[in-house]
Amino acid sequence: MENYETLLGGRFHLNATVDAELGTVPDRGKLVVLRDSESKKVVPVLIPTEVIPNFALSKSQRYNLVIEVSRSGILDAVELEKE
Amino acid sequence: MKQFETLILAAFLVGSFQSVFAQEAAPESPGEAGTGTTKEVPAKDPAPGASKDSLGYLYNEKPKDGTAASKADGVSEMINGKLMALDAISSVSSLVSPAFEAYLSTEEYPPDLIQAYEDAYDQSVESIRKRDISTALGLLIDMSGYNWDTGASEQLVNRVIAVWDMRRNQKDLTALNEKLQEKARSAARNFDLESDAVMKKMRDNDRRTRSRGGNGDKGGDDTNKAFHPAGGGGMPSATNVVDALIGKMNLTEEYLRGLESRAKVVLNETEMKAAEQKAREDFSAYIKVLHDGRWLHQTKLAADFYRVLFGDGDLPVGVAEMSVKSGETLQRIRNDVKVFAYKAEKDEIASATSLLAEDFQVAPNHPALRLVNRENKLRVANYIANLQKLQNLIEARDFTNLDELLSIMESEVKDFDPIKPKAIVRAVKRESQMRLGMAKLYAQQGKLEDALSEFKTAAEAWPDNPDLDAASEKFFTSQDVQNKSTVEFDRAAKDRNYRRIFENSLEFGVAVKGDQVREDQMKDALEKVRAAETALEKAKLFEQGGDVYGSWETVELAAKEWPEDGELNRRRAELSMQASVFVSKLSKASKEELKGHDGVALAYFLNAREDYPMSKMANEGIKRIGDKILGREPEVTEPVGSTSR
Repeated sequence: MENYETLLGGRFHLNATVDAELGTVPDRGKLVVLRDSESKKVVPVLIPTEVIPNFALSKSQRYNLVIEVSRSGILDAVELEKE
Repeated sequence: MKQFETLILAAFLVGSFQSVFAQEAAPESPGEAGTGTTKEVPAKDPAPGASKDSLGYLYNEKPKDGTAASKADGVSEMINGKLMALDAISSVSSLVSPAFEAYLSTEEYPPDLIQAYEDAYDQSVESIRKRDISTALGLLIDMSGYNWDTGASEQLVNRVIAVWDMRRNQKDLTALNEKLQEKARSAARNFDLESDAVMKKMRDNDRRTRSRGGNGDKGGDDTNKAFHPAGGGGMPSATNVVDALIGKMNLTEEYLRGLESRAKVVLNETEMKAAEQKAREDFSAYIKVLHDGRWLHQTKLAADFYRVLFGDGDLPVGVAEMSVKSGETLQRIRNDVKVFAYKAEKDEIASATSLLAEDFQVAPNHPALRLVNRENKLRVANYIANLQKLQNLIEARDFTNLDELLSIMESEVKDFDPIKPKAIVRAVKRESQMRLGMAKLYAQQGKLEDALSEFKTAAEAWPDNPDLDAASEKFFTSQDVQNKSTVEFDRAAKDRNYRRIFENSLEFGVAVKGDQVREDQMKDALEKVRAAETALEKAKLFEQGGDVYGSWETVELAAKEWPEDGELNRRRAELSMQASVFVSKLSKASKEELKGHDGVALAYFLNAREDYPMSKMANEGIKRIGDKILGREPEVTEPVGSTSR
């Protein structure tokens, strides 16, 4: 994780469930904690406002995401859909 | 400022008490938030519960926050509170019932015997359900033969038979009523017949009178015409008149006889209704007696009998409640006996004691309780005896023997929680030391009367206090140490050596008296030491509870407030080794946060929280960085590693 700069702009697929929501700000998006289905580790992901789905995120639901490593090592969701 | 030294010392020491009590009583205390291996005995249990309640009393009797002066007053309040609590503890022995003590000494019964009783009970229930009352009563007679039944089942049989007798009596009354009703009907028929005859005679008389009246009866006095010889002068004959009268009398008699029969019928019906009602009420009352007497098998059977005897679909609400409750309790105790055996096997005697004591209190006659083997019951008896001994030792302030006993109990009883008794010991010892310190302070001020009073209180709080002898020799010798102490104080304050100030607080307290700057410095120093000691104590308890991460974090946070303290740093270093994984994650999170790598830092904080969900540092870090990423106004918290060394 320390060398995130090498991954900056890289996109990855993530299959995960929602572990917690850290907050939502209308013009920024929703910051959530996702648990990777495979490694079971948690990762923070910022879902920008334009990517926030029209359905509510559910803890028990798995989601397929495309995430992009952006500034400050923040992972931005580019695509999000239910599994 | 006259009593500054008194107040500042009292404030510090009372503050220490409050801290200790606060951390002991707080939900996050290690004893409760630790590994979960320690369990508290439920309050409903007579023996251990009394202990819990009594000890709990101590914790509820905290000194109140306030000024230094009010804190000084709080110390004496605390002493009173302890004495009251100890009085309560000493009464525990009376709360363990003699019956329970006797039960704990008895040998277990053969399982076959218990099973036979339970089988008879089950068959009785089944027989009642099939309305085979005589078989059910026979089984109850069998049940009454077992010695724990003590004839309760036979009493129930007698009650049922009494209701049966009442029923027979009602049948007799019903038969009698039928006869009476027949009698009433017969009287009514006779009345009708008699009535016709009388009417006929009356009409004949009238006719005869009218036909003779046309011949003209000119006789003089006619006042006794009815007694004139028959055939005289148009008058009715005496015989006819008498016949008519007798007919009327017979009529009246029949009428009265009919009324009497009907009245008797009504009376008998009323009597039957009253008897039925009384039988119902008596039987319900008897079920309550059985229930209150904790005869659960008999309560359940009696309720079943009620339904059959009185032919109701539904039981009265009270009876139904007692029946259901008894059934539930019967089954629960059967299960509890198995749970008890399991807990005893695991040496969890505290919770096993709670379970057994509660069950015995609820249903002392339950046969399943006779299955508990004597060896395990004696372990319970031993545990209760040790609890009582423990409370006596606390009351007697015999802390030497108390420590030994606590060690024994900890080794013998896996789920015994020694934290609270130990906290009491620590609190009382500190109280004694505090009083001793006050005594020394007063002595140095030349207030020998106050010093003696404090010394006496210190001795009462902890009679075996090893410092008492030494103190009694030297405390009452006043010394002029002010100049020397002031120099030493200034050096310690400059070096931020607060522990030196703390250790010499009595001398320094006198030395800085009246010097506002130094007084503030001393107050600050004592507060720092108090906070550090509290943190170290809390960390120790966390560590004892297996919560190494919590222990490290507590010391880490305290070290931020006083980074120069060697003791905090030493403990932090020790704990860092044990909590290395958690520390490493927080450390990386901190470094990344300082570099502005918020996403990476947040990931590390989240992973640290995975290791220790209660972590204040991780949770604050997550909140802080989350706010930053979302562009929200952050709360003021420092990055965790900002003062780490």
